[in-house]
Amino acid sequence: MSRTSFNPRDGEAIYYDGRSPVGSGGRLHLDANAIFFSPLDKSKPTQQIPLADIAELSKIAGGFRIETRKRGEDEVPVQIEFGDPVLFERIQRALDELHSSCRKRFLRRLDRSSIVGKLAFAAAAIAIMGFTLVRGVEYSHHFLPVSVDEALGQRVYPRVVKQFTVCTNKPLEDALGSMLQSLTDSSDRFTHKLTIVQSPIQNAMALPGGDIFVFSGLLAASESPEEIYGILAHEVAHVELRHSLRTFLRTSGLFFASSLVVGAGFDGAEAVELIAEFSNTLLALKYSRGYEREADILAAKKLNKQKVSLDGLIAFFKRNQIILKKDSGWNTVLRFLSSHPMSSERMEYLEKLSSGQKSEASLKSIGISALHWDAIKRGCVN
Amino acid sequence: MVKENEHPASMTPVRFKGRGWDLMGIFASNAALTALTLGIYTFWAKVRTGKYLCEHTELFGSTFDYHATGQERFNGFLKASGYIIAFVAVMAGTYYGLKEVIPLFGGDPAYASWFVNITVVVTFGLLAPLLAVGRRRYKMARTSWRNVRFSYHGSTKEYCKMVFRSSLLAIVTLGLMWPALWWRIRKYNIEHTAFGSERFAFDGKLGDFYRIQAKNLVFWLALAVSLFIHHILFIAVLIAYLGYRSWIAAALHNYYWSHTSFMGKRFQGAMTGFDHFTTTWASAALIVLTLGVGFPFAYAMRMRLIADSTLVAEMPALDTIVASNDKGASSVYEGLSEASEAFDALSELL
Ligand SMILES: [Zn+2]
Repeated sequence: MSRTSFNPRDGEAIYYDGRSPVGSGGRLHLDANAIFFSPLDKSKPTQQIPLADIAELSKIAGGFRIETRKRGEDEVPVQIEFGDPVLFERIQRALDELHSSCRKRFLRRLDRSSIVGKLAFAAAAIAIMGFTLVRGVEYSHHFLPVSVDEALGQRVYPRVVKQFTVCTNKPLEDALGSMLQSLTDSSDRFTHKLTIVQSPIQNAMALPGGDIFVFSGLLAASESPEEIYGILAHEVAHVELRHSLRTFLRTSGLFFASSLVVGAGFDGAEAVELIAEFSNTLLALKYSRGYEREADILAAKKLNKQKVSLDGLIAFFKRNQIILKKDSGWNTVLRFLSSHPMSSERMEYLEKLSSGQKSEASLKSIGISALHWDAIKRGCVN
Repeated sequence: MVKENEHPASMTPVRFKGRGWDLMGIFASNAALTALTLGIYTFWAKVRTGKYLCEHTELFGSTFDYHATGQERFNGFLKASGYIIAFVAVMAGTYYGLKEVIPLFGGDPAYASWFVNITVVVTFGLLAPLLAVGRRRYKMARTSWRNVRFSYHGSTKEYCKMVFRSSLLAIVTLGLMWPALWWRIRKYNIEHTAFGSERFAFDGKLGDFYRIQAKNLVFWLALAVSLFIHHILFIAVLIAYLGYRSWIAAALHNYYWSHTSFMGKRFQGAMTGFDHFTTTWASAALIVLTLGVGFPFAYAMRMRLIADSTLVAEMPALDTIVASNDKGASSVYEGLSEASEAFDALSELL
């Protein structure tokens, strides 16, 4: 007897006793609290299965399947396959009444909802959990001591130093040192250490915990000490706002959230994982723009406190169209993308920030005149 | 009840009757519930998918079934996590202990990290065959057709020996015998798989297998040579290889299935390179164009390709088959591979 499909109308069923793959044909019907299988072979007895003994009722290709609960260690569950959709629905309803815990009801509703309903539920759940995880994990930085930033910085520092040639030049170090000192006060949680890198690149970056790298190309290209002062203020702000640690936490949250969802329950979804990783990286980049703005705002406050205007910083940007970047140290793709030219949007809000400030635009107060700066700024250029 | 030799000439294909939209729905609820439970639902999600795939794969009018439960998989994961944590703790203890003890005997404390590293490498080396055998055993023990379970009877010891010997041979022959390892594993797995009381058989020859693999070898050589000539030639060969791999994959599928039999009834592989080619690239395009969201459809396409191109000559004498239940199959190996993946990701982060 080899059959290819069930006939939905005739109420026929096949009974598999779990001891042999040879099934026996028969009829299935439902009573108030049990199902009955009567074999076509009249010499065999009718099997009665109480509804409470049904472990599973599922849709299979071309029909439906019932599996009984396994009661003893050596007892084998029985399976009955049938094709009648009306019978299926009646058994399903009877079972629903039997198992009506809150969790089961919810899972049942989800299972039986339309594809649109499932997708909408998934979209909502993913959006809420994604947002909560990313924000929640980032928020946890409030509970982490500043020593975490320092430890992170200490791990990255030797790797960064290895990539570059460090320059020692007393006048420059003194000047930058006193700039840094005037930018920090007793409320600062981090101690800043300055490293001048001998490189034509016009860049500056801050490691978590307070290490700040300034590239000699940036110093040489500056037209006033106020420009560098503004850039240092921006980097100090990155450190103070713990942007490296927060980027790390945020991306960890994002990667965890996406690892939950991507290919959920399916083996061998590597291609999808690859796409997810790439879009995560792009998302992380979007966050880093928000951090830039935060750092600019705090830098403006710091400059204002010292009565130095933002004009130096703005002038430098206008001339060079660069973006100051904090080194996240983890992702080269991110680094590549973030070193692209700054947006006009940033320029706009920088100018807005600057217009509200009263300042004298001079660093004479800490002993650095424009003349002195011009004399020393090329100290680390070969 | 089963008439033998009913249609001796005709071949019956395995059929995958699952629908892409159904898989999409399963994926959506899996993703939602996994997200909401911070990952715990993963185990139930995997079972859910596995069950759907089995319940919609049909042979001789009867569908397969998958009997694992989420709870069982979750327990396996918890147990495995316990083992891994214990192992890490023991290794850390050994490391710090040895660092103190070795200098007392006038040795270099650096040996402590040597010892620990070697132990870890050896343990993970042994773990790979253990996992391969244990996972397959669990998977087979939880899969059924007509309410009779499959089972896997491979032994870790034999498996280890086989892998070790073949690897050694591969190294000695400069990698030329490397594909033989895959062949041996496949042969071993087929021959140690049973449905009820009856085992599957495999009668493929290594020589025929190598005739197919030789095409891979030709392409590798062509790639290596073209690299020295011109990079555009290299890219051209690479593209040709990516396309032609479908024909090699189809030939391998056919080779394996056409040499597999059950109770004297032979299976047959009937995949064409063209089918494999179109399925592979259509599903790749689908995944990329939908940014990954449409992958359940690609999954269904792949299942259909494999099922439709696997045929069985005729129904074996089912009435001589007696069901058996492998009580020793454990979800802990599945858990070990999941837990080690999780710990790996965690250690990468820190
Ligand atoms: Zn910045």
